[in-house]
Amino acid sequence: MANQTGSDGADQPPGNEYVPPDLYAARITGSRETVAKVLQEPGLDFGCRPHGKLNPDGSSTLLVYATEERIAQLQSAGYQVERGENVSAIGRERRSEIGKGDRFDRGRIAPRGLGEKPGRDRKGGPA
Amino acid sequence: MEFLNVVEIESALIGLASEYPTISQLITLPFWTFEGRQTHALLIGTGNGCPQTGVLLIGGTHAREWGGPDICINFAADLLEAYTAGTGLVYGGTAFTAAEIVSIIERLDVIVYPCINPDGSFYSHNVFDMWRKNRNPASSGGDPKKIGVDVNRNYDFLWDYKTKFAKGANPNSLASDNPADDLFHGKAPFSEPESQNVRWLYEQYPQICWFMDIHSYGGDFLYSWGDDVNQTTTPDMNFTNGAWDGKRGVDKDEYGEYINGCDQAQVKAVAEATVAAIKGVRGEPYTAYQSFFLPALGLTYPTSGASDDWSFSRYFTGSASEKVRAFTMEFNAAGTFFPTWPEMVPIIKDVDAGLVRFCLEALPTYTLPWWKCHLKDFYYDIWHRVFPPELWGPYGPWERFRRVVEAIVIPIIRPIIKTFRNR
Repeated sequence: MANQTGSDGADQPPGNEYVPPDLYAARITGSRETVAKVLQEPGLDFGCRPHGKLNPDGSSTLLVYATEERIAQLQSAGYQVERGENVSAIGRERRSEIGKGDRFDRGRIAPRGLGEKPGRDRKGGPA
Repeated sequence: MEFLNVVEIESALIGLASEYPTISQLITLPFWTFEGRQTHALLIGTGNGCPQTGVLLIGGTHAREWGGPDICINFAADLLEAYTAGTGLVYGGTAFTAAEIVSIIERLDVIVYPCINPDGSFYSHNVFDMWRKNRNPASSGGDPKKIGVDVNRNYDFLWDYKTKFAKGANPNSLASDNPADDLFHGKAPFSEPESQNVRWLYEQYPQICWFMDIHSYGGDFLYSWGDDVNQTTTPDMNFTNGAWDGKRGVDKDEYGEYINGCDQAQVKAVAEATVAAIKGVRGEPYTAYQSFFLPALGLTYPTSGASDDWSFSRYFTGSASEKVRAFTMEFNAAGTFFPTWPEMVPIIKDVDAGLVRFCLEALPTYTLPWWKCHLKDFYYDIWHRVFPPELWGPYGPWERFRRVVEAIVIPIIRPIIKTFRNR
């Protein structure tokens, strides 16, 4: 991303920083007790809050984020783990959808909301 | 359109304050982030010479939860545009009348703080997308793997989780004292500029009675408490009572966190109304429940140091004169930190419909006689002629005067109120 401030450099992209290894979505399926145990496993990322579902057969599936190495450890420990998508890679791909520069020109332009204002067109003028 | 970057979030707020100077006011937060960023919030309201019931909305706490700041900016822009144009607001199947928008702007002070953690957001946007914390290296000892504090474990609510919670409570949800962990809670409560800024807003705007922290993902709308099961029968069994230290955070045991029955009914009703407004847009399956639980799994998720519980707790610790009904939104029922922008647009509409409904629920139920007598416009007119909002902002000099008086009077009367309450 280009320098967004153009003055203090506070928004320059960092240089040779340490970048953690990629994280993968992993779905762990087991009994309620198994899932409760997984929730107490160290070094797992459950997102903002853990999410999962109860399956028709009575088992539960919990979504976690972990490195390939950690997923292998969970599998070795006997958990039923399905490795899913590389969420870090998805994030990198989606960076292209982050705005570049400053579309509001340091506050000279105000944003418009996405809600419809009945009787107004999208640019704010009378319809 | 695309997601807002961290510079655009601040520029958007400045732009809105410039475009709508009579009904909004830019707030510059005093605590700079570790990487040298200063953040802003926007106070929305006409002001009528005195503070109105306050609603505080914050976003961008967790860096990787893309879209939270975009929701806040769009919400602010929608309110300001609709009020100025004299229109209602429509989000899919959920609609609000022009009169409802007027009531929000004229009878509430809505404070929108879209991105409390810009350092983390910038890092997520540019270096490591899955980053959650801020970028403070104070506890890292030079190890880059140990940078950052989870801002939503840094508030002063049962922060000392090792003492306050039971040994059997889930350590992976409460917090962590390991700087390498995603839940690292910092060196002390409010050690971080991000949480200090939120506290500062409460101190500067004591009229805040409603709070929402906007996160993703899951389609959940959560209400307090987050440390244990709610109970309405034993007031002494509460987070301030040291006799219960070491016993919190476990389901189906003797401890439950006290909440007044009326408060519980109110927060549930507001949560349900907010969720209904969201569902009305296009049918997204959001659910409202107490934050201690994980209903989909039949398990619990106790937390310490979270913004919503701290906000609600302030009244009970004597640090606020008004109760704050506090909530956490987990937007995006589809479940990803990184939706595409075309996926994000309908999510913004969903949540903004919920935010408008939330504000309507926050409206005070009482009305002053002069309000009913339609003296309001006359009163505004005089006030704004004497103190033009272009020069003084919506509140005129009253806000500054109030702060000076409060600084003198509150230290004197607070001990008296505390003594009265303790009787």
